Amino acid sequence: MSFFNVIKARFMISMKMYFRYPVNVLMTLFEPLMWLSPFYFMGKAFSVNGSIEGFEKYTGNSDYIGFMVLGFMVSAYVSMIFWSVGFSLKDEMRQGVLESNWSSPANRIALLLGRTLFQFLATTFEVILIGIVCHFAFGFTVNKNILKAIAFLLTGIIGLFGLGLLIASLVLIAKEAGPIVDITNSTLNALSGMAFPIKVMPRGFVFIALILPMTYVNDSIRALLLGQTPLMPLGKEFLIITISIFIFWIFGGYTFSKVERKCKRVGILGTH
Amino acid sequence: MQSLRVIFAVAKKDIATLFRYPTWFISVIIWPLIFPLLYILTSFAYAGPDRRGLTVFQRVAGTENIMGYIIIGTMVWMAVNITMWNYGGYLREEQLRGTLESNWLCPVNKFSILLGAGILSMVLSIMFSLVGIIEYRLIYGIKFTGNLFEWIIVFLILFPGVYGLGMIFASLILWAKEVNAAVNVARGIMMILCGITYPIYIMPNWMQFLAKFLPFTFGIQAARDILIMDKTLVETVYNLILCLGEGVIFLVLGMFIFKSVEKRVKISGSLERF
Repeated sequence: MSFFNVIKARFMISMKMYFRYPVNVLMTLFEPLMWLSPFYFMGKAFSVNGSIEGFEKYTGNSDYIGFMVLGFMVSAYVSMIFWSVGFSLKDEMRQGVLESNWSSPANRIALLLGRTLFQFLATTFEVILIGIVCHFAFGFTVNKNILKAIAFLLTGIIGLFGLGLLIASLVLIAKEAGPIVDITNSTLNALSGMAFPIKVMPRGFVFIALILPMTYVNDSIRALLLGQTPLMPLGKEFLIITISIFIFWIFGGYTFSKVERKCKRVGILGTH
Repeated sequence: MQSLRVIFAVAKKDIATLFRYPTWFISVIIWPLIFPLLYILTSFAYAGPDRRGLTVFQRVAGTENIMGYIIIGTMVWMAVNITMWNYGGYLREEQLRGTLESNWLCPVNKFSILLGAGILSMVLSIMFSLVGIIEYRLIYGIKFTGNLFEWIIVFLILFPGVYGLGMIFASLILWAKEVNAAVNVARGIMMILCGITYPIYIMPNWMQFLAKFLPFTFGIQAARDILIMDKTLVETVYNLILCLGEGVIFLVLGMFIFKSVEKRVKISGSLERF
């Protein structure tokens, strides 16, 4: 079975399952309100005459809602990678199809990639909806640098998939996805400045944040779309995000193939 | 007596499953630590590098203990969240495993099955809260006020509401066959309306009006009064009574909806479908 046929088949399965539960699509309209409202109202509690002076000192302007919404959009992609890769394995374990799927002569990475590819499209659709909902609910707007911002975002997402392979390896060993995916996903989002400028964190955490490519994705997108002050020139940030693709893919791919071989040798794919 | 045996058997089975996947322990240690941090650091970002903005929030919130204020709100939210996922999604989990229909065919009270499932959620909620209090004291240096008896009372008055809501969602999930959306609606409404990180009077009037129909709004306020504002149970009795009263209404409503949905899915024969 060719690599692309496997991706296509997995894409179709994911699509059918997604549309089988249409309530999920409706949730997309509600989720941004749910996650962003605490930040929005907290911001209101801090604001004097509609502006938050303290926040402006960190970011260059007082658009905390734009800051939050863009962070939320980027985090939607991070979560998509982690959940679709990590949780799909646990789902298949539970459904009892993981061992049979993996016994087929299909490329394992293609099996994971096909599912993620559909989730990527679904997330993009949801991110557009988030933008519309937040525009009407919180007055969210961006400037015209959308194409440039997409280039930064896509590069970051390609690198993240390599990290997703690492998560998949952990799920295969631990036989449980929820806590692993939940904690790594949330920690990565928090440390990379999803909800606050990283300079707020203690110095040790700032150091970790500066190693994470998602920090630069968040930062560059905000600089491009909201005119906020970036951590460093955008060219340098793009270079760091691009280098991370190679690091994550090499490290993630190597770990995943090691764990996969071990699982096959020990014969633990069918158990959970 | 038979009901007690069912409750015990379900709880025993669930606790055995929990210990089979020890990764949950990581969540118990890490979640209470990092979840409030997200809001605490955001509040620092709003306050600015010199933290001068904190005085604005302190005036609005009515306390100088901003970290404590946020931590109590998020701690209650986490307890409700755990219950929603475990308890609210319990029947759906059984459905996915393919064991729901066979369990349902047993000549036992179905309500006992749901009560048994509630025990695991309760154990987890208590563990999260205990670990949270220890971590907040040792790591964030939060000084909690009140005594153990008052803390237990505050915790207990939240339970009828949490389980009532959990029961409503467990029933709806059985019918709608989708957990994520239902749980997200429940915890989302609480997140928006109950003021987990801000005083509710910051919201527009219509949202404040809706917030008063949720027991958690009063539960969170009572918890803040006791745990960080050094008030006694008598001083916050208004919040305690409303939290408990509304919680009991949720519980009765939950039982009623559970019975209706149980009847409906049996007639339509859709228990095993997902």
